[in-house]
Amino acid sequence: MRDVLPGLLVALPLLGAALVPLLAALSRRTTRVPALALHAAILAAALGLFGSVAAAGPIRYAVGGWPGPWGIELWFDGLSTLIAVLVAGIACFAAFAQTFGPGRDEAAPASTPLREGLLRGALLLLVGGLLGIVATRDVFNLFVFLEISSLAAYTLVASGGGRATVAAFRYLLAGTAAGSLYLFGVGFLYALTGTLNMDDLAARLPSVEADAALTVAVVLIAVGLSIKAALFPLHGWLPDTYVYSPTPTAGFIAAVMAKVSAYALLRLLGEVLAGTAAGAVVLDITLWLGVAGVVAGGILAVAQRAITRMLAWSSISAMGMILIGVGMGSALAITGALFHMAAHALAKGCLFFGAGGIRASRRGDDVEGWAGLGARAPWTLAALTVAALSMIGIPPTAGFFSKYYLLSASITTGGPAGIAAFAAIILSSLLATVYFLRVLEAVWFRTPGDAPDASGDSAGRQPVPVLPRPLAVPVVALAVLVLLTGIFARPFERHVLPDWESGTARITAEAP
Amino acid sequence: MTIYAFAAALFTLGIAGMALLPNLLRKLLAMNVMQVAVIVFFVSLAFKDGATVPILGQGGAPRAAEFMNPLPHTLMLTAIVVSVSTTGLALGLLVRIRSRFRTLNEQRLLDRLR
Repeated sequence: MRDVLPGLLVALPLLGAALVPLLAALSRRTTRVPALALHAAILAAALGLFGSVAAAGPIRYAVGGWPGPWGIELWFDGLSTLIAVLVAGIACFAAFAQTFGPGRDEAAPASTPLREGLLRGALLLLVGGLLGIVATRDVFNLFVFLEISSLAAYTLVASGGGRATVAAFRYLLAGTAAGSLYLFGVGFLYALTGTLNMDDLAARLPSVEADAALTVAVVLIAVGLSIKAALFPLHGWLPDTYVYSPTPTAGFIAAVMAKVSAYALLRLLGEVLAGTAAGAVVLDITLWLGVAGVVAGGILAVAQRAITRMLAWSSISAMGMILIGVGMGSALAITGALFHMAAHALAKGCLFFGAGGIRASRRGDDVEGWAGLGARAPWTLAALTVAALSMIGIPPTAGFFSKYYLLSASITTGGPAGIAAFAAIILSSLLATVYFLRVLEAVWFRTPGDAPDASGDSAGRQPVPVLPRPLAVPVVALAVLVLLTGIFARPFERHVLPDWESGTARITAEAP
Repeated sequence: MTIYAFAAALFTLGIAGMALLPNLLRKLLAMNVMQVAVIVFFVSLAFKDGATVPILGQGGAPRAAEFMNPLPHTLMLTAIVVSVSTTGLALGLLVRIRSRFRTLNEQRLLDRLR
């Protein structure tokens, strides 16, 4: 199993992305079953790798039998398998919502089997690209996967039609600028070291003279990936993209897209470039920008009236929090950052699936439209409440533990940076309390006004559910996962941390 | 050295164009300029005075000093493919945007979105 799973994890979604649209074009029938089966298989492969790495240690896989540093290697440790499971798992929910959901805003063109097949292919391509970024050990290969996932994401965002196409185009400009900056930086690294393999780079960089070229390389790579990770103030593409995307896409992109780039940033800055002087300075800057992003994202979230836009700004705050952890760089801080990636992905996926669905079924996106919903759909709204409490950081939800780790890490880091990080995390919880309680109060304690309600009881039609079932299932499942992740926080910590430490130890051991 | 300065200037020009030009199509053209700058950088990286293409079999043992590095060039084949597909997708989006909103002016589009 350990010999085939690494290759399968990346090959399955990419093959599926080609086959599903082809099948749809040839058969002119729905491609529901093959697409969902593929997503399930990808999740099974990710879980298999996760278990295998937990049981028998990290896996190095040489693509096509060409060993590194000449060939492309895939590398799986506790860190990458965790993110892979997260991506593959939330992709299953997105595929479920995409397949059975209403998913379609009035602006989108009519649905045909071919169009559906193409969009399913795009989702598989996005998953393949993200899993490739997670797995690859080659910096140029990472660029290719970055662009594959981005192209698929632009397509999925634009499939919303109307305003979503404008959001997708602006996302494309930002994403391509980010990719080109990163590629430029990789060029500098290649010129300095003659290698593209991450382990080889980490081994050779300490002997490279620290000059302007190395600094430029580090800065270009950091800025490129920071745009993708929506690090404040490079977050401009994020709000419109999240708000105007069709709901299944918004739930998936909001959950994992920026986080996978933050993971790449962690790999490159924390592992490959860690030995360079410029890398250390850039990590410090990342920390301070993270602090700024946490505060700015929180304040702007409070200022929003539309709920989806509020959630988008809250994501910018959360990405800041993750990058604070990356910037602090201690083992505890990395645990916090990773835990926050998982906690926030589950909670934000849940909230975006829910908010998008409610926006579509009730034709409204503001707090007033949510008034009294708790009485009408107690289960789904309870699930959304769990996710909101996790965003605030109330135990025993996952969000509490990520903030707990990050706060402990900021105390051990100390100094002005540690104090700023500590203050920013506390402030973010207070701000999240403000903007989520406003919604929760309306949901549970207010009665619905005479808003244009889609329930249609007076007209004698069937009452429209608050949240259609294809979206309610992911929402409830993700909320349960938020709780479980919080309850099983300790085993999680033990799974990821030793691998990260052995990962860095391995590199120093291989260095000449 | 001059060629690197040229690539950097081209890159800056592209980024500036993407940020400052008002029309989405012009932004896309500026994006292409930026992508070409990276390609120029990689291709010139491999250049060596007096070296030739790395093809074996002209007698004698191959000596690395006589060959240009083929790797950056092959990398750029992939980068060009990426650039072409991004441009294609972007043009498709522009057609959609133009037919729906009747303008490609970014400010006017953003006013319509709000």
